[in-house]
Amino acid sequence: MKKFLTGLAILALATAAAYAQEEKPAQEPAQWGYQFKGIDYNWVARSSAALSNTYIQLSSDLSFHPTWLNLTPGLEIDFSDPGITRYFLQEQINLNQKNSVVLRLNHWEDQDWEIGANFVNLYFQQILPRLDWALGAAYIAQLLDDWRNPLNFDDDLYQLRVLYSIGYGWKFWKNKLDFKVGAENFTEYENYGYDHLGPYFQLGWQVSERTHLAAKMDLRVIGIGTALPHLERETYMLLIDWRNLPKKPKTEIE
Amino acid sequence: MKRIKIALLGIPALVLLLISCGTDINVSPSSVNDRFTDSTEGKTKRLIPPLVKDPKHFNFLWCTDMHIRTDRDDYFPELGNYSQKHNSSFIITSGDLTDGGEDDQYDHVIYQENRYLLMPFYSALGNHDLFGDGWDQFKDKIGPSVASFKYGSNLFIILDTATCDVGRDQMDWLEETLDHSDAAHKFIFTHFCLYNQAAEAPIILCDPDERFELISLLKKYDVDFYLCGHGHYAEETKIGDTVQIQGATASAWNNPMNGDPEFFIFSIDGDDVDYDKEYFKDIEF
Repeated sequence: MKKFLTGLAILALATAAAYAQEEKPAQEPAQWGYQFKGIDYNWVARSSAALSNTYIQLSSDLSFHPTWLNLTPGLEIDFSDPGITRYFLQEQINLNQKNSVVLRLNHWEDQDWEIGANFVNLYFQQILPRLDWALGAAYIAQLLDDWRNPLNFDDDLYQLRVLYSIGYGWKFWKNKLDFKVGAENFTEYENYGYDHLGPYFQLGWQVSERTHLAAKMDLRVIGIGTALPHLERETYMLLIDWRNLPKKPKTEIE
Repeated sequence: MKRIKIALLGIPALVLLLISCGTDINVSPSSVNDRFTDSTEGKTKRLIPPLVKDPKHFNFLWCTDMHIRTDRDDYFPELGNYSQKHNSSFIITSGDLTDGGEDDQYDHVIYQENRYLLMPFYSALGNHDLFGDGWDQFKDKIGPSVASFKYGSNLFIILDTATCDVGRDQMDWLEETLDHSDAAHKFIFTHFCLYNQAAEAPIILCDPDERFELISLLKKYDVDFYLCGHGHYAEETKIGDTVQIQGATASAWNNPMNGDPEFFIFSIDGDDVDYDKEYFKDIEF
């Protein structure tokens, strides 16, 4: 409960910070300077043999240059059992409006298990009106010692992995609702296993020009490689995305 | 564009269909939790621990992926010959004992075991052992999917990862078993490994979170050896202080991707544990 309240407090602070600077006009392209782009707040329930807890995730998008320096720090905390913590720092290079290259340093640790892992995820992503996809690679350092250190990339137990993500979505009901299906072997916060596959389904609601709510379900099936497939994990998410867009001037009714 | 939409919708729909075809959203013939319950409630053939002759000085043989079929040769004669020569206390495998989990394959295992081996023979469960009604056959003819026994001050644990998972019940049982043990040396025999070097391949325990939890138990309880198979690829890794050995096959017809069919002899001499790899091709019979 304490962590839930902490999460809400962080959210409130971030939202206040965002509103405090909302009157500023958006920066012109190709200019260096700070711009707060928006925040994501997610509520996540994972259900599997190893993890059956609820988590909150909070990330904010900060831009210092529209092309070269777009940073996103993110944090996930387990508020039902203070075991697992994940956080990341992401840099996104926007090649153009559709294409970008993402480099993300992820840290994961479990206080109860006394182990951790650091990931370097590097991938190319393309976002089209209906289709988005990503392809890249990950370096994962599994840590048994010095497991709290986010910069420990020890190669004693390292692994390399291909990263992929594909999603197809469309809008309906006056473009207020959207539905998306896809498959991915990683998210901003975690990398799934190789034989740990499954689809996701997401129903979204564009509440306002700036705010988007979505409910997402992710299913993970294991054992496809051994011809004994079965559902191993279900994840349910409530996603709140707030973008710091400049307000449109109100049109006067004559 | 419509075709792409149909194809993209079709993939998850197919997965959902696959999932929903089985009972309890599970298309595998048995779940790890069901097998755990059968094994811990005595609904399987009983595992009889080996007779302890000299608790401080003994050896045992370990191999994996024998893939026994009635129409192919196997290495039971060589194992029998070697184990008698070295006075081994028992032989144990890390699963895929049979190639297809069929009734006649399990009968053939028992026939060969009785014909060639003079010491106890144990096996963990592999994914091939589960094909068809493999679990019903395995539990009646071979033994439980999960078990532990002591030999002197050494703890031997058979763990079920045949469906690429451990499950909550078995994970808790493992932790409890390790927690209550004062053994000097601890060995885990199971089908799926926890790690394969460099590029992750779909041959290790599927869920990364289960891998992490299991690795944490190896670390916390100072497990000496984690002996696994499935990959048909010989590889040895240190996971902290635990030695993980992914054995190559011990099959007379299903050759490993590197090296030759092999087995290991583990020799316990007081506080020391030594192990040597042997190739079946070098065994005189």
